[in-house]
Amino acid sequence: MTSAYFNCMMMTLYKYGLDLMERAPERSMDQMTFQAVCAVYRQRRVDYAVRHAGLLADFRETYGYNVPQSMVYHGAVLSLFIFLQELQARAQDQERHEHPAIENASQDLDPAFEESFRCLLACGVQTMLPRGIARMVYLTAVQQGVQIPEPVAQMLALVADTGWHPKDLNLLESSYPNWTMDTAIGDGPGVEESRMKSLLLSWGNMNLGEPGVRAAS
Amino acid sequence: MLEDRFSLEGILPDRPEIWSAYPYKQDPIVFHANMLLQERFKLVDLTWTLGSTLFRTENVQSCSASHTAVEMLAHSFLDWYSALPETLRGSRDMPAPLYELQYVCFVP
Repeated sequence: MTSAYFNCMMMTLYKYGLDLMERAPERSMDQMTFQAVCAVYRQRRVDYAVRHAGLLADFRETYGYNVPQSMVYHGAVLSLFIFLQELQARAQDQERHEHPAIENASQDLDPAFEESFRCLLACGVQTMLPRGIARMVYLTAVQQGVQIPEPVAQMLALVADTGWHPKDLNLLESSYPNWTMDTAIGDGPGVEESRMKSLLLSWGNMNLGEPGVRAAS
Repeated sequence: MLEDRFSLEGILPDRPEIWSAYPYKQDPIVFHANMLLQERFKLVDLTWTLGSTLFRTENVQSCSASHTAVEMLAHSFLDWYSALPETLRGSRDMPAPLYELQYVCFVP
């Protein structure tokens, strides 16, 4: 699992490296360089997330997910949030009719997205935490208006009966972070609201849509 | 660096072990557990540096300084990865995940 750990570290590095760059108090480089560097980071975090999905596929084929391992699904969650951010960024690029700064913007993320999500769902059959996280990832996508890949929607429809029950929320007590939200790091105000339990609670009241039902479209 | 304080190789000498992934796989595999631990120590060290670079608010610097820091970290991670001994390289049926699996299952 050393290489899974490695992938997680590289994903974290480029994901938060990008945040760090965007938040820097003084922009001591010109706009062109800044954008180029950001594009490279964006590409690299996606690369590592896709690579991680390959590793997950190997693991699934060799050992299966009968015994859920936290290390395995933690990496999948990180990849999934990176994919969500990437899909959202691509939608924004399209809206602005911008030339995508990212090299292979048409790179197909669907298989990797599917593999990572399958890992979460499979681990969630036996363990509450990945089950809750899968729910959180799905609702994050719905709330941010990200179109999840078709195979994932089908997968969610398949497990709609067993994937999540509203009463599951009572069995879950977790402050797992949501890495697509700005407040997910640090301990400033608003951090508690971006944690898993409170997010699921508030989204439960908003009736954002059930898995399998195409949301708001 | 952790390594400067004591020699990991002295405390954890590399001893190949015969290890089987019961109940998933019956065939025993040669496994270098101590080698894995040594590399994990180094990785933890790098992870600590990563955490203090990216998440300490008092360390927030200018753009180019952040860029340099990130690039340096990436280099040290890649150096670590390329220096990994052959037995710890990823493969489809590597025993390392199952080593960790045993840990997760039996030391909850």
